[in-house]
Amino acid sequence: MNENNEENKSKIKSGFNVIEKISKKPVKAIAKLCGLYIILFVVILSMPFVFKGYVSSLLYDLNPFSIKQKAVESANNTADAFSTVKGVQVNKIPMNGVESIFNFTSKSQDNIQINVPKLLNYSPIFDDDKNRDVLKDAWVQSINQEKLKEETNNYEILYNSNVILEYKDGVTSSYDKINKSDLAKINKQTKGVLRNELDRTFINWCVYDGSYDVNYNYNEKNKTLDINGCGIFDNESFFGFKDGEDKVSLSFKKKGNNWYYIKNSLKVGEKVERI
Amino acid sequence: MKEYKVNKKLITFLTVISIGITIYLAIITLYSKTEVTRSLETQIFPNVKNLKVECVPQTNRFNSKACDLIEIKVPSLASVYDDKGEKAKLANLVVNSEILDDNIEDWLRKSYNKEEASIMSDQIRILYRDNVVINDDFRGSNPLSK
Repeated sequence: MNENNEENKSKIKSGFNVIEKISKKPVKAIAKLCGLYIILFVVILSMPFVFKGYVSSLLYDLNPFSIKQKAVESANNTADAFSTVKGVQVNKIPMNGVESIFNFTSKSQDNIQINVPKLLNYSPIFDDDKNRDVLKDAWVQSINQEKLKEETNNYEILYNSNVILEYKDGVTSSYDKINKSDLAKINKQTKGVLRNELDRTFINWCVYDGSYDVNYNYNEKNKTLDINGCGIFDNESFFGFKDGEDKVSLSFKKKGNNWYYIKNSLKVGEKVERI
Repeated sequence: MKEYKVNKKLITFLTVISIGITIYLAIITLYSKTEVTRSLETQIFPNVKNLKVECVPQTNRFNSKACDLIEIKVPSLASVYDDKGEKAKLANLVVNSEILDDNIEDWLRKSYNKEEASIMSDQIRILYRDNVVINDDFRGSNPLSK
């Protein structure tokens, strides 16, 4: 029995060996083929993940100005601007990839926003809100614009989430000394003044090139506002004139939060002639 | 000789009372000092880092004003690293500290309310960085009559 068993075992073994020998070659071949494809597949799939960061940083480093840009950025240290005020936020919005490749300047950012929160004060020792404009001027005038222009294309300074300084596409604009609610008040008063002084009904400012043809010049020293513009009047005199356009200029003076018309400052000229 | 005998109970009572009053006054003074300083700190520019407000308490108990001297030290608003010696090199170049100093001092001077300050304290001193912006002494004169 034992001998038979052993014989059987050896037979089985040899059988396995044969199967192994036969199957090795095609399995190897198949494995080789499949393995190659799998490796290729994995590589292709992982390429965007691996190379995305690498390629963009490579492109940035290939830019001959990248060292200069980094040096300017670290020298400026814009993130530290107004850091004494708690909660100041400096947002840096970078250029897009194509822009940064062909960016042969020292500028590394597209836009920088410096957002200064409101300076709080609950103590009666300071009437800080009365002199808000002084504080806004302080922020605006203290910005080293030349240094910022070296670093970024555009920039914005916000105080109390109100844009007080903006540099965009080469144009600097500061905050308005007259806000919108003031303007509405002034326009309303202007209508009243014109009706009282001239007995003519003022309809509105002329529209020229899609905006009202009127200029407001605020003189901070004298606290006076000069208005120069073209007004549309409803002429209901017995001569039978139709609606007319006339040059209008008048001045207001600011006292506290109110605007007062300066007497005899109203001048209404002849018809406006445009070329 | 019985009349000269010391009343031990009375003496212990008096000493205990006097010690109690001293401790009470000391606690009151200490507490009021810290309390006034703390309330001033929460009132005056609480969102400015490193701002120092100090109230030197009254020595005269009959004076109704809370402080003998209020000292407010406003640090440079341009950067936390300004006036920090070696660390000043970390300060940004984007903000022109010189112009900001002048403007903020101007703002402090304009928004300072003398009448309110005279109600709270005998003297007031406001500093921006190392410059004394306001130094008022209300003792010996009634500022409201000026």
